Amino acid sequence: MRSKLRKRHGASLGERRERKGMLFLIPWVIGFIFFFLKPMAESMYYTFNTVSFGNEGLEYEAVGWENYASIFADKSFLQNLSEAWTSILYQVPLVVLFSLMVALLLNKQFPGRLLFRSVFFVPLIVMSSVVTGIMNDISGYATLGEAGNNLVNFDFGVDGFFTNILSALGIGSTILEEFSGLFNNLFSISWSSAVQIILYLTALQTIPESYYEVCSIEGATPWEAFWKITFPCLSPITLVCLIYTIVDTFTHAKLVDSITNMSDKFLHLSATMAWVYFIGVFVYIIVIYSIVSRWVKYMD
Amino acid sequence: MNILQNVPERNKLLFQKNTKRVGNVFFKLMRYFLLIGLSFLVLYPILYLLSVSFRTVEEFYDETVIWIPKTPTLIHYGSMIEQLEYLKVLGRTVFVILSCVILQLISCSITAYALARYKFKGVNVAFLLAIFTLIVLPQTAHISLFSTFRYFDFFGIGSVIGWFTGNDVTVNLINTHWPLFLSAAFGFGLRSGLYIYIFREFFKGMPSGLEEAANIDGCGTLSTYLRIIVPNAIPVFVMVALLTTVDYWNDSTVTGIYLNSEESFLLINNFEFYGYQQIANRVYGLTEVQNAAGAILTVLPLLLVYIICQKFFVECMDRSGIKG
Repeated sequence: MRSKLRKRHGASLGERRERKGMLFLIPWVIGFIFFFLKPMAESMYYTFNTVSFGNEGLEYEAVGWENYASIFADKSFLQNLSEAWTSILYQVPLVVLFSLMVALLLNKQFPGRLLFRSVFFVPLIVMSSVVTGIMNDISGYATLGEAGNNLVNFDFGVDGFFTNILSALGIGSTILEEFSGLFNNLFSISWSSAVQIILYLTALQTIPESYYEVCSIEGATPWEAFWKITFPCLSPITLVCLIYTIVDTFTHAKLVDSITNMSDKFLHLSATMAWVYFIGVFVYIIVIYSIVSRWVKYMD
Repeated sequence: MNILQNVPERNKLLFQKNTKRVGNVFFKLMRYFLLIGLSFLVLYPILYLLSVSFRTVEEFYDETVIWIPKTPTLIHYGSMIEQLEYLKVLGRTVFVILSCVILQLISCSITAYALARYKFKGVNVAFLLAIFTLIVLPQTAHISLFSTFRYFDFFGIGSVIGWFTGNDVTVNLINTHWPLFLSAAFGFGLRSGLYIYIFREFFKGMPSGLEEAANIDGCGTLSTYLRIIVPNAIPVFVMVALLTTVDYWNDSTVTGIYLNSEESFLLINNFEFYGYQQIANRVYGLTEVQNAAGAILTVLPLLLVYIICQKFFVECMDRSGIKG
């Protein structure tokens, strides 16, 4: 008798609700299969063949692992690859730290705050590969090739505005070179950190004022308040910023240009390079995620 | 030994208060100093471009002109507006981008809602995959995407018809704007993974009591979504709309895959085409100045909208409250 009572016709209310939820996901699943899985699978296929543009379209010739062997034998590729991977190591913490500092600066109310906030978002609006290419061209100093793996390469050069003033003050030329190196890096870091600043600013808003009040009642200095309250509360968003910055740096490295150039003639080689590069960055992301998420404290 | 030991109490307090005040002023000055310095650094290229675009050709090589040209002129703007067919392309760009933004808002928010509020099997896997799509380089996929839209068979339906009738039903969508619309409508516009993530974080932060109350009041799933969730999430919608606009406006790699003819170019592709063509046939002085004018023209509409709405923009960023 009991089993008869417990038998349900069809799905339970909860299961029916879940199914309706799945309906919401259908457009994305369709998109995923056709705009993601299919290209990725084809790209993977290219890495194991030689692709050439025949009369009807693409012609393939299976070569097994030869593509991988040949790119690892290519010295310039190995150099670019290791540069790209190591630049992620130092670029990412710098960008995240910089955006944290700027967000802290911009957090309190002070006259002109809106103006300064708008200034820091401008790179987000203006940055496109075309505009930065034109800027590099016009400035006459930067060469996209040499300037390294920064997001935006804009070389202020030793003849720039700052250095004219500084040399008029009598500062020697090696120091000037150090300065312009510093400005270049600072510039590229500040242009890469627009979105991260936004993320940090919104996260800073969510820290309740009462925490700081308790802190000052207990007699903590602002320095201690930062490390005990602000920093832990920001840890989830720091993780997001780290991953976002890694992905951003990854898509703008110098290696990507050479991959794009290759993709016209040697599609298989460029696909192989892209996959190797991508697997490395993916490993990075997983490592950083597992290390940092141990330490993240979710405030609930 | 405390230096203030022998000083009467009142003076001690005054001294402490005044040093604190001086310290405060110092910090405030330092803050302004840093911010002004950094702002100059950030704005330098744009100001430089602006300055170059107003110069005459001779002044480009003039050493004495640092920021403000002696004879500012608008002729380069005029010639670039003509050359780039600016108004026509701008209209086209605005239309395409507006539609893509709306489509992406709808598809990303629906997907994120499903991923945030439902617990069916595979929901976490789907979310991870959505993030994963952000990581891949477009270059790996561009030939494949090109061929998908060159012989577009309506997601396989055309091929299925082809099995029966022997003729695949395909449509050539290259050089139209349909690839952009379609990929945005199915949750795969530019950086959609990021927007799905943003929406999901926000939806997760909404109290579940809202949905239960809606359910009790008789809303089905779609009504709950449209009437309860969406109005509460307006700041996030605005933020994602703004970020999407900026993304589409500035992106030339992905749009360059599909748009190869001048008839279909968006503003950025158009400028890229002419700009690099000019660089290839360089006329020293003229090319640089004209390219500067063109670059400013390309970012100008977006920058103007930004300047006008910046207060609104910044406030919306604040209120969308992403915790991460």
